[in-house]
Amino acid sequence: MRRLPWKPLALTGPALLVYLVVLAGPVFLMLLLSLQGGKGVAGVTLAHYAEILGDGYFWEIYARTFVMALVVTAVCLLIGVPEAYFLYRMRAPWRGYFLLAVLAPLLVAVVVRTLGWALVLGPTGPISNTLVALGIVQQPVSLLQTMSGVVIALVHVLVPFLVIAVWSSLQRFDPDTLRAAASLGGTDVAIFRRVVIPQVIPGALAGAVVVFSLSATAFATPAIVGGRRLKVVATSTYEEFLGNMNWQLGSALAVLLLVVNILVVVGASRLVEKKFAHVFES
Amino acid sequence: MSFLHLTHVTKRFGDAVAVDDLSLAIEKGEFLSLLGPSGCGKTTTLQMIAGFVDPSAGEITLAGQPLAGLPAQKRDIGIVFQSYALFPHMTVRENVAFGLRMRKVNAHDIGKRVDAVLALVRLDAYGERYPKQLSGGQRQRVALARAIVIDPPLLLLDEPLSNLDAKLREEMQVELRRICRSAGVTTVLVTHDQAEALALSDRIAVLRQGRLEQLGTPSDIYRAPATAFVGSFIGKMNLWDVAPTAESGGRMIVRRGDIVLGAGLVPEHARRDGALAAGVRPQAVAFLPDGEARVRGTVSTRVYQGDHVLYVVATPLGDITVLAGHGSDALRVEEGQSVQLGWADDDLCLMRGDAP
Repeated sequence: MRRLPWKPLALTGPALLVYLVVLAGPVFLMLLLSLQGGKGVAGVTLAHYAEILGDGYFWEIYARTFVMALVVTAVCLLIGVPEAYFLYRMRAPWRGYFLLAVLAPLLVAVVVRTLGWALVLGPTGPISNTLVALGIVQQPVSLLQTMSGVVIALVHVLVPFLVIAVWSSLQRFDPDTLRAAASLGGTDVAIFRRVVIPQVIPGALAGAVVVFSLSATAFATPAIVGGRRLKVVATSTYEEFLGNMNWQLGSALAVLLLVVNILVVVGASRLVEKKFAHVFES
Repeated sequence: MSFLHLTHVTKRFGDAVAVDDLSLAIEKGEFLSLLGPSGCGKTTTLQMIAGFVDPSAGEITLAGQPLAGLPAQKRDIGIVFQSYALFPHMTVRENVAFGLRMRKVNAHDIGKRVDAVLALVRLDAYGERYPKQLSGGQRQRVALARAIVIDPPLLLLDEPLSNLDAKLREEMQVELRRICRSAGVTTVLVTHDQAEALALSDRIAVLRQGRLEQLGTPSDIYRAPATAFVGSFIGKMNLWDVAPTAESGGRMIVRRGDIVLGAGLVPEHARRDGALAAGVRPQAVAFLPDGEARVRGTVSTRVYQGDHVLYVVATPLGDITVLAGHGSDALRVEEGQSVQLGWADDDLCLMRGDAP
């Protein structure tokens, strides 16, 4: 008879309990709720999922959410990877200051930061004023309630996650490989493309997964900058819960988002592990 | 006209002088070592030749062409780094082919040249492996293959063997010598390991605190060290500060107090003004019968080292180290025994002083 491993269980028990109560519990309840009969339907049912999948309106919201998340992730990669590399090449003390500047968005409360962006992006904000003053546009312009506005505000707060992930993979980067590549005749561009990027890809993909899931589930920024016109899954869920009081449908929306997110995260990690195992195993 | 010329090269980092007015001339096809303890400026010198660091003063020319202002990318110099600096995301073949790709060599020629160089370093069977799947010695050879595949006019080796264990290091010394000879490439090796420098080099430049102490063939440097520092850094040496005396017939009788050390040959480099030092290698010191000895003493330590025995003998001249070879009677000397030590006049080296 196998004995239960009491010691590990006892040691991990408290954390496991908190994890179950605080995280798994609510998600499980939400799953139950999404299967419950609601208005005019009785018992356990998949009716809410059927409603979502059968309605073009919801398809559009999901598509918008994931397109937005993909664009935010792509922009974060384009900015974050070179940014992390520049930080890596910097010397103390500048490196410390700039790292702090990169992390600064995370130090500001989400609502404050987002309302700040609403001011900047709005029709009376500095962007609009500058464009008008330069004569590029005649009427004040607003990036509020546009995809571009939401993407800008999300990139601002999510880039640090990517920089940190790439930064950590640069920590085991041998700077002599740069010198070796230079001595072999590599131009700066070729070195960055063929030596730096391949070595930071595992970090970049790990950061990209975080950025993707955070932007796919972002609520405050789409709600404040995007407004009611630019609905994403998170804001629709909120509306179903508190606007239409249709908790079951809201739960189903949230569960579907969670499932897709899990698929993306697991898929991406598998890809990284498979493709880059040989590089960093030791 | 030599192939690689360093003319009055100086490098300062702030107030610190890393390399101080260094001049060197290296012939085509020669294997030269820059040897010295850490902080002697050898690595900085290498980096200036490679183009990673700019000299503060002086000029470096390669095949008559000044290197100043030419970035590392354009120098065509092959470099093997201490950490090997292999690209971890590339296979052995891709690593070796990198320099050829950057030179836009066509794929067919790349294949042939990579095959040839992998055969030279005996890694033909490992082309598809990644660096992490190789042993230290194999990585070392990949780094060497990657550096020589571009047919560099000059090969720089930065402590290439220091990350290997002692046994492998000796094997790789033999390998390295074979590979560099058959590639016929002019090579500059940076090392703090005197055995490595002695084994590999045509000539050795001994550096100390950014200055050139001595330049010569390994046997010159071992048998006739120019300074007390070189004498003690390369091999072991019993050293004494001595006062210069009158020369007769190219020899000078030197003494410490009442004890005559011997009549040493005075080499040109020791004839300058300043401090003079005398030294004798431990293996040149012998236990002698009474009467013939230069100095008496008591054995304080006996260390058995397999093929020889090392003794430390306390004498009026200070501790003298004696190395007794296989088969000599000296192997039977015990700790605490009174002994008489002597050496031949020709084994007494006279050097420039400021003994360490």
